[in-house]
Amino acid sequence: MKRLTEQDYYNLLDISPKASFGEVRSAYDQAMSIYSTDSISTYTLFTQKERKLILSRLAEAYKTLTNSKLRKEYDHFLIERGELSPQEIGFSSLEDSTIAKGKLLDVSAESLTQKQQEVKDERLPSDRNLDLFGSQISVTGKSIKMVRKTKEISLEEIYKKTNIPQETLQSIEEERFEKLPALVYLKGFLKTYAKILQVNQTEMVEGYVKRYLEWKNTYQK
Amino acid sequence: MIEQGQINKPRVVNNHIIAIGGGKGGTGKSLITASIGICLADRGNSVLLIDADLGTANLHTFLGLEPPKLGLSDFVSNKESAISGVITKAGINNLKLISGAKDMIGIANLSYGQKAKVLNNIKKLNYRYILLDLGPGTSFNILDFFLISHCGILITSPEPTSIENTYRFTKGLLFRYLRKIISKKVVRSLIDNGIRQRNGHKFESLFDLLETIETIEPGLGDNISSYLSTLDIKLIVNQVRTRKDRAIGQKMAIAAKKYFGIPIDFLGNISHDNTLRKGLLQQKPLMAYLPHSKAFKELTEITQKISPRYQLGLGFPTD
Repeated sequence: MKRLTEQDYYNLLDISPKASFGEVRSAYDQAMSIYSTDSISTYTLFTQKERKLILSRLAEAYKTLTNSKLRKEYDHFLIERGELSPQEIGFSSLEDSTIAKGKLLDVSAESLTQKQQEVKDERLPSDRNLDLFGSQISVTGKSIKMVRKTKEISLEEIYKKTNIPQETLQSIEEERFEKLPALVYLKGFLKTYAKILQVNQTEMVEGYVKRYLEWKNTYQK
Repeated sequence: MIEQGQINKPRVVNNHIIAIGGGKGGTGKSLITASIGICLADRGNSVLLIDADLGTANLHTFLGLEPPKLGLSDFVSNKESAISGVITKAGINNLKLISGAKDMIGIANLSYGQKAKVLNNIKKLNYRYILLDLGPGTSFNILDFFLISHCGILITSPEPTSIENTYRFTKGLLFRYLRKIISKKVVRSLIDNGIRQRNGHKFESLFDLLETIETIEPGLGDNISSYLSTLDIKLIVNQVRTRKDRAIGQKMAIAAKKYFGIPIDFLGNISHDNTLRKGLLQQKPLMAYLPHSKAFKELTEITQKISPRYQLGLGFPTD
């Protein structure tokens, strides 16, 4: 049993990894009618925070699974983690080029307006650097990890002090962007993390968010 | 080839106890209990209705009966030594009733000993179906009656507050169940604390609890979720009017499965029906007007779905 927000996109939408784009779409519509804020069938079942997470996760699932390139990458990612076997996948990518360019993307754009707005409002900051014992290094997941290792702080310690799940911290360091929470939460986490590492908070948050948004703009648009 | 008469009779549970509950009053629990009872009896099953909605019992009203002289409280208070002594006729073949009409004591106020006595004696009764009308609320006693049953049916109306209470009831049920099946002291007190803080809401979700449990005792969390998946909980949405109303039940079932990890079986919708209200106002017995109502067909279909649980491979030898 897994939390809704931790289930992979296929499980979240209750579809087979072979599902066609049409099936992904109707599964998404069905899911939205269940989990959206005004849905009566889940009235008070979730806290606001939970619901927000579920909805952003659903939007990600929809975007990924209706874009053949992203979907291939995601499948690959699941296979690497041993959660999917290569035989299980096999949707037709032909369908993709015809449908995804047309109606499907419109629909996703519509339901994602809010999310995209968020991204658009985000002006990309210039390169940021972290100060490590006097020398400037650019902010990446790797460099954050390096700073942490140099300062001999374990993920567990950070978790104990901040309550940020170790898995999230790890995802930040390994730049597994698809695993990261919504931007608002991510920023908060990074700020706290920077505080623990005793590095410049603005530098670290903005530098990392820039990388995150670059990824997001490349893969999720 | 299988010869006639050689097929083993399908195995069924001897008595099948069905609890009917749900968080809110006024969702039609008693009406549905009585109706399902009538439908099951009509198909030749021996059926016992137990009005455990103590304090505000009115199953007898639906059956068109005067308040019976003896009721569940007479057994609880030892006025009647055997539970069979408080069973009364219900005016229909195959249907019997244990009334709660005269009971002034609410079910929530039964002592532990009284509750255990009632539960144990219900389990021993020899009826094909025993339907427990539990009444509203999420007190421990109600949850316990629900949990001793073979299956539990939640009744909700399409109103937001009713749905809210249905989820609250389910949450309460799960926490109560866990509290009772886990022997480890640390975990029990963890759940107790959770319950004390606003009905288990200290843990925002069941997962928070399971995760905490898992850190205390690795492996236990998984074990618990496998227990939870065995719970047989069903759902009926009553008083539906619109197409939108009709879609709610299935969605609730999906959300609950995804969220609580327990399969909630959506049995069906029952239409809002003025015939039923009118009949009740005229103080006629339910069987006089039920067959003429829109809801009757829906109730019949629902009854078929909760009918006997035969052995999976019908006729497969069991020895």
